[in-house]
Amino acid sequence: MREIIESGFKVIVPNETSFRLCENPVYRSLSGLGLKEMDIGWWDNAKSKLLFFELKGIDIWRQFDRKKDIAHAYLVKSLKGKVTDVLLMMAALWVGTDTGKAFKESLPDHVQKYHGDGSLKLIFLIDTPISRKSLLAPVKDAINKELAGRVRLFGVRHVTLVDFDTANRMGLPVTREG
Amino acid sequence: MTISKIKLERFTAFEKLDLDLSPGINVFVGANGTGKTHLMKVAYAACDISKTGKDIAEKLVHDFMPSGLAIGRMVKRQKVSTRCAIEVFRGNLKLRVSFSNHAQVTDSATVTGKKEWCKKPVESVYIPVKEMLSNAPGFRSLYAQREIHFEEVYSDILDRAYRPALRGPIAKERKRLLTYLQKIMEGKVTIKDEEFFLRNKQGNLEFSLLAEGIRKLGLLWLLIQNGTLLDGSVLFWDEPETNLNPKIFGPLIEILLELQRMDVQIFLATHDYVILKELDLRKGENDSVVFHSLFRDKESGQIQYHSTDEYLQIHPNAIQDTFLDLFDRDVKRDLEFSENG
Repeated sequence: MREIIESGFKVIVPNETSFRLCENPVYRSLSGLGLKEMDIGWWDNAKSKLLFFELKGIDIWRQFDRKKDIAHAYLVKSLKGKVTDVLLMMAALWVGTDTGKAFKESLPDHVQKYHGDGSLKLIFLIDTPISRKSLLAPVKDAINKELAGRVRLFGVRHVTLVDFDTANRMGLPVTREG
Repeated sequence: MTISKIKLERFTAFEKLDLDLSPGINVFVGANGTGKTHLMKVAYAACDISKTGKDIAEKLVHDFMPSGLAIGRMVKRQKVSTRCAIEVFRGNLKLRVSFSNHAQVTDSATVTGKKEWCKKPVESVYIPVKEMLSNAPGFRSLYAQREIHFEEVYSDILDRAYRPALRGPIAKERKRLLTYLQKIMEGKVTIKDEEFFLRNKQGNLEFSLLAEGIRKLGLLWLLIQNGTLLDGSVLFWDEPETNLNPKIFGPLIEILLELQRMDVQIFLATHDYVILKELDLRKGENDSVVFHSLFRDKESGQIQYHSTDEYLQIHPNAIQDTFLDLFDRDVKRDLEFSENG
């Protein structure tokens, strides 16, 4: 098993079926060109799904200018960029562009082909204080409204946005660090 | 045959509207003053007179209650002489009524299509925002005899609620809904001397002692039990969320979806996020749910609409905007706090 520490959380995923795009040499060469990624990817054998997981601790607000920015719009913009770029990378990989082929080399076997509609899941964990938990649902709607067309191209109905407790209830392999 | 379209010209807040409707559930969302209730009342009046044969202009006046019952006051306010027109469609049938802004009495309204319209009567029920069952005893006779300032929808809803149960066996689907409602209300509704009671293990509890949310569910139970809400009927419900515990929204939406599957056409006006979200989460692939967002165009100031069957595509969505605004302000307050130590 592999232990990944990210944004104040610890995620434990199987070594052989998990990957981090940020460690992929091809991604690294492109990240300077504005390409975004999600923290962790893994193939869930039991559910036959490829999961992408992004963890957002309170550091998500580090770049946020409270005098200028609108919180939900800031969040939507940030997550929308990540989803779009991850889907583009996977499409390049599955279609087999030269760059996509190069991606393949360091990714687990199961990830190397598209497994059909419903086989992809994109999850964002947003560390949310109790006061805001009930307000995450409209934010999730706002993100999905922006992404509905893009994710459906890949057979995904909705992007998932959860707080830490919900992530645990969903059985995601995440705990708080320390 | 369901209401398929409403066309309005210079009626109340509307300059011009041409709205196609779903045969299933129609949900009206929008800020106050965008005409959600008016649209429902127009459609309800048209349905109601198909059964009673009443004059549509008269029905509109009693449902809207313009000052002095002057019908012309329902025409969109303008300084010049003008007329409004209302058209309601059911398939090939069209009921049209028009009147001038100077008209005082309903006789001056021009009505076309009523004869054909009434040949195919449709059962309908309008549930207004204010709960009426607890004030029911004596209200109907008072309303019939005296000029009291109450919209007719309040008297109509009691007429429907007082109907005795239908003869014969209750169809399986209807029975299931009644049982489901009984479980939530923990009892059945009974009527004695015009008074409504919830009968449960503790005995008969008068409606005035019950939570208003339970009274609303009781009303729904009665309407299903007495056959008012059967296939082919139309339900109008203004702000079903009022005084209802949000925990009951889910079961309530389930009941409405089930009624829709039994071919009851439904119109809802809501300001509530949970109602919308429950519809989004619970509707199945074959359910017909259309969201109509009513809004004032910033430039013209006129009321316009956007209809969609996709919850995420409701636009503008005043309800969601309110919640997002709360989220934004909550984030800012936390950041302010951490910055200021």
